[in-house]
Amino acid sequence: MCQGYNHKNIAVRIGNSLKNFVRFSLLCLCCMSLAGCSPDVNEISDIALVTATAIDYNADTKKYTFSAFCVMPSNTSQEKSSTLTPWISSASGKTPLDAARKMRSRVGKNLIFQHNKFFIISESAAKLSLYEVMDYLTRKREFRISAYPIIAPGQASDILKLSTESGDMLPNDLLGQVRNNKLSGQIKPLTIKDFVDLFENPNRGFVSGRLKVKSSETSDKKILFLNGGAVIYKQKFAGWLEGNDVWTLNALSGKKYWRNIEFNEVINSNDGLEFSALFHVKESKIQGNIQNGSPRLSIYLKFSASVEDLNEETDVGDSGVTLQMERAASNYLEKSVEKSLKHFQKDLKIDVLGLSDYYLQYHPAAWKLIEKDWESLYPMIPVKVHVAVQFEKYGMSTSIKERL
Amino acid sequence: MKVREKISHLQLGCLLFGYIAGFESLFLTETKLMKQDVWIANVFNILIGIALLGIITYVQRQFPGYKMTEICDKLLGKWLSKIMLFIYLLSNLESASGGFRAVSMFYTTVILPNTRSDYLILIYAVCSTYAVYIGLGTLARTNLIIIPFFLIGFLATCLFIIPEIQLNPFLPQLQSSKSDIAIGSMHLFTFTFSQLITFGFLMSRVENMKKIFTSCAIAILMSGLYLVMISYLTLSSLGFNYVETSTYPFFSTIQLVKLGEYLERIEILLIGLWTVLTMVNIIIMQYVFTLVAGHVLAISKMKPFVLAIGLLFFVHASKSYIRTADHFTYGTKIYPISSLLPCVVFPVVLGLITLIKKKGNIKAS
Repeated sequence: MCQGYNHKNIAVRIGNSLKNFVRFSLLCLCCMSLAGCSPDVNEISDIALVTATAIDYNADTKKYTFSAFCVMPSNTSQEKSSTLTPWISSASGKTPLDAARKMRSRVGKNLIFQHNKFFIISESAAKLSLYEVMDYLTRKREFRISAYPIIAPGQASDILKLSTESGDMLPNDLLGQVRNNKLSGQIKPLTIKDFVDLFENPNRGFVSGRLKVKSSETSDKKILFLNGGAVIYKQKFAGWLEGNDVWTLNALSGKKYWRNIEFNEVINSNDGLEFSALFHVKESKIQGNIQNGSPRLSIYLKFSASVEDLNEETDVGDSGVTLQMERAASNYLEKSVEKSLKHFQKDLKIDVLGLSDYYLQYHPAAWKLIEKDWESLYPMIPVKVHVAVQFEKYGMSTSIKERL
Repeated sequence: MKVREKISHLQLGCLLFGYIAGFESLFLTETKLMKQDVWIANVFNILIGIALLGIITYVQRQFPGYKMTEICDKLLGKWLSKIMLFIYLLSNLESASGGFRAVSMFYTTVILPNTRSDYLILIYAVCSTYAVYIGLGTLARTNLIIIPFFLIGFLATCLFIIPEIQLNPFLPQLQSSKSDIAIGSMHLFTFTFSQLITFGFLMSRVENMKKIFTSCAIAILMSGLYLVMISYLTLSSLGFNYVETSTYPFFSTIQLVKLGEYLERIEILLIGLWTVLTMVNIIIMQYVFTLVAGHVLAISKMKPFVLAIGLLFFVHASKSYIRTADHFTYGTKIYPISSLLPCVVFPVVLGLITLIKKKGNIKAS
């Protein structure tokens, strides 16, 4: 009797579970069918992907020009992905949004900006209207915060029309150059996220990517390359930096910027030895204090290095020789860093390294006292640079014997 | 709605964690306000949360066979109890509507800009009403399935964000003004552990009442730890200024998650998990609303009214906080004050009366 009751109870439970399952399945089915009603649905045949964008500003007409480098998704294109035909669409308007909307309304495709990796901002837009441009780029959810805003001289829209040395599409080539920055460290590829974070800081300047145009060495074409940096201060473009200064900046910024960089230098030792070496930052530290209201700073840089070529027979396996080479390399790099720092402090007079951030974080009480005079104090801060180089490797050979 | 299905103390703790972790990570208002000092708000929040939990579990333990609504009747008398429960219902409705609106606003800003908010609210309301209909036990079990996925997603986010960390988010310490600390702490408490009273109405449904305090206290600690972690992860990866600017800072942080160089835009998976936990928040509010409304209106079987309450939530949410600015202003300036009576004063009064009555009974005996 009791067993029969239990069986019945279990059957009722299973029945209820099945009922619930059917109800839930029906609900899921309804919800899935509702998804098709959303106006956010995009047919793949209707879209075009924007992979680079140029923003210009004309000071006379006070108009923005928004240009987009577009490609079709490969599975809707008639061509192979390697031979996609890109096109450039452009429009002008009173605000960045006005220009962008006009441009979007004129093309026959729905432009998708989610894959856009580069915002090329013209020098004039960076000088006169950077705030409006950045406000628009951060407010729109379709612009990813991991894209790179890059400043370029002249008309940014013209830059989109230039070819690349590799023959690849412009955004792909630029992305490759950002990737290859690990070989020189002479580019500062800031993302929108970092750009905006630094943009809002009133005490310091910062350096963003810089695009240059040069003549190709193999043909008469003009080609694009990323090198050096654009200085932004008080939310405006303030000048250009050369690659060597950007290298110093990278070495003295957060680990994220120098972690993968391995640059080469040619070092001349006192005894006539000239050698090339690859250097990798191992440690980068800024230490400072404030004595009687005057800030002082010390910079410590440690490099690991490997010998790559020598101009004469030298036994690099000898620790005495290695020590001599390390001293020569340390002196050389110390001078190079000092030269860049002098340029930042005396010529630019802009705190591009973020020394104010250092004082704010580590000496908050003293910072409150010096904050209002920071602009006048910054160029006068004595900075001591300490560089230590350690040659860890010298390659597959110790030295080739000279037989003259 | 199945009436007396019991849940375990562990399930209640997990529900509390899901309730807090889902919704609170959306805006991180206190992080924007206090930045490196946000841990102060979190410590305050955890301590006050545990104290409030202690009061509510103490009241429940004195009346083990009763629901919290019945305990209110016993302690406050029928009419005063009805008034207090009615005020709670209003607070519950405004919280749930705020939740519906916050999720729909997030979706229409970030993922589906052309979709109408009402349309999204309707979908959420249909889901939450169905969840209330099938009952607390199913919700608790579902939550237990979701939480491991959420934690794995969160752990993966942390690991992928670590390379993006570029500044020490803890320095300089103790720079926030006293008013910022007070406002930030109060704001965090309002949107997290002040809602423990809602869980008080579910405590009579727990099998082992003695373990409620321990499991919920662990859930409070874990939620607090989660909030501290996401705050500092966000600050260190986005930078202080960007966090202040961003409407949804933690979403911006998870946007940085990428596998290798090309596999980006995977934040949508994490948002999916986060949305489900936010649904847990809304469902619990709606479920407790149904329970308390049944008691206040003296309706013994609430099952036929579940749909009506779902419709009420949908209509209220679709007519409230239409502008984003209204939602923010209400959340930062009005709600921290308006929620004090039903969420803090109410349980404290219940605790005090229970204590006084207990002492009276001891003296009398």
